Amino acid sequence: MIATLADILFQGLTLGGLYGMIGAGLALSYGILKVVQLAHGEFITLGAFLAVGAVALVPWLPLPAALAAAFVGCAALGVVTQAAAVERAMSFRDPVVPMLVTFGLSIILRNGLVETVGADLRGLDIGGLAQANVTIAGLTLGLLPLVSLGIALVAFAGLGLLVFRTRLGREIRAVSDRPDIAALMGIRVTHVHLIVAGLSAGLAAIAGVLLAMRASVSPFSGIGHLLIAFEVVVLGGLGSIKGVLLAGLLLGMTQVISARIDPNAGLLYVHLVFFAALVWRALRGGLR
Amino acid sequence: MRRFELAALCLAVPAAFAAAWGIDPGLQFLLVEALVLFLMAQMWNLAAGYAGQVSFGQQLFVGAGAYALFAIANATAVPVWVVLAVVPVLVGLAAIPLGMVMFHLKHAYFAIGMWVVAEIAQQLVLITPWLGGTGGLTLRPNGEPMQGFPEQLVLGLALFGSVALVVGLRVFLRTPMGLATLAMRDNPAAAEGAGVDIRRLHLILFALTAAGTALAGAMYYTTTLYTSPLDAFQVNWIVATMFIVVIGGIGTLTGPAIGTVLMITLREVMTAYGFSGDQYWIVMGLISIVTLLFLPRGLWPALQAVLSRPRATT
Repeated sequence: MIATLADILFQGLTLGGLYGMIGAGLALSYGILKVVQLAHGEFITLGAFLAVGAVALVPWLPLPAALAAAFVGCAALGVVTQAAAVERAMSFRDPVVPMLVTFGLSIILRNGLVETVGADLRGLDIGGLAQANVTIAGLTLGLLPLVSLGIALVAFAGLGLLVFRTRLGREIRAVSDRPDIAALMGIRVTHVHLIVAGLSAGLAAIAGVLLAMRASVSPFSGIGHLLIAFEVVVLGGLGSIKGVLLAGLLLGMTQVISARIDPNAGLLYVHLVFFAALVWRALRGGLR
Repeated sequence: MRRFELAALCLAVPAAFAAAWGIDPGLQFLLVEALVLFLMAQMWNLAAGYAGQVSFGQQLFVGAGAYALFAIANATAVPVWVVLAVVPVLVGLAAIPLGMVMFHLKHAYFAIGMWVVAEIAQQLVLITPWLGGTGGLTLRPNGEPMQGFPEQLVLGLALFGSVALVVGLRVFLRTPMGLATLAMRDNPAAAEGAGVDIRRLHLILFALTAAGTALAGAMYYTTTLYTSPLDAFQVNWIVATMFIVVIGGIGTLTGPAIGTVLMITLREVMTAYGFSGDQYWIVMGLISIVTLLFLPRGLWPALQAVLSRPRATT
């Protein structure tokens, strides 16, 4: 009984970290660029498939190399799409335009993925990580969830350091707060936008690789991932890395517990918990 | 009502009869699909283009319309066509409390929040045995197999309904509430300052959109005789709807018509030349992005500007 409870807690904790990771890129894009990146789910899926492809090419590829391949590939695509389309869309007064542009982008990426890799589910197993266990204080824990939680936490810490401790981070925050003043101070605003878009897509790719190691992904997984990312961002609040992690934990715990009770429910209970939180906040008037 | 609007309505009646009985079935199914998409696009346009409520959850109302029709028609002796008339009223009424909750979310949050609600509805139907679960439902009015050729009547209804909707919206936009809607489209803050009850108007338009979309969904699935959660609540409904409105012209009544014709034509041509469905959606995505970047209001307003330029100089 206690072992089961500990197992649920452990699973919820690690999935929660992963959900937070899924939301991080979207929060970055929405918080800094003020663009709801609807292709975020597709960047996650693409990251997963980049890693799957890299491992298929080089079977002995270590995990950090697979992560790096996915990060670089997605970040490059994020920069390219930002430069080619989203940046121009942002120049319109209407914030709906960039949102619809990224929606079109998500359709292109999703169907492009189906065209190139097919509609099948794929998983990722690097170095037998999925089967490995560690025993800590009498509890047997999967090594894979631990590693994935560790990677998520490191990515969060890295993001926090980058945004709050470096010169680039200061520029990013300046562009987010007052782009006009930031430009006057000599910050190359477009340049910062490109970096943020690349970083956001790269974070999505890392989340995608971690997801593919935990469960399989298909080109159609992007929708579910986008919605989880969105829920994490709405519940956690923008500009709060801690909030995003906590929201990820709440939804991850929900998913683990509901999957125990009803394995066929998919993301139903995650969505329901989010919706209930929304109604509750709406009733209290706490939403703006 | 203006004279040519009346004439359009009168012409729509024989056209509807002619379409219902004078066209071969293959073309009828294609026309039903096109008209249903047009109705959905016009409804999304009313919400997104006029009321400023961009939503990615329109498939919620498509599925709700289909399932309400199938569930009621299968369980009762009420004729299918009466149920078809009742379904939009039911879905429209159900949309009011939903709107009261969802309007606490603004802009992007509202848009994706509606998407989450549509996903919830899909998942709930998937695990509800009396709605067929994953297997879906077959239309069997009062337990009997459907008689005749429903696509004939649906095509007539959809054709007349499309004309009537455009005429109705034109007339509506001249009423006080319609003028308030236009004011809200152009400048919500100023409209509110001039005494427009934005919240109430938003709710009314939201309910109307839900009702119209549900009717379109119910009509479509009456012709297919079968519905399933993965089909009725699929994201492709909102993808197609959004592409039609964005490409044709958001916030105009003519734009969705142009968008529908372009989209269906392109699909038929690409299919004829052997392109896959995925490649078709990639092309549609590219067209929508290029349109948004260079003509953010869509083709029809741009075309209008070109057409009216010589007249303005003379």
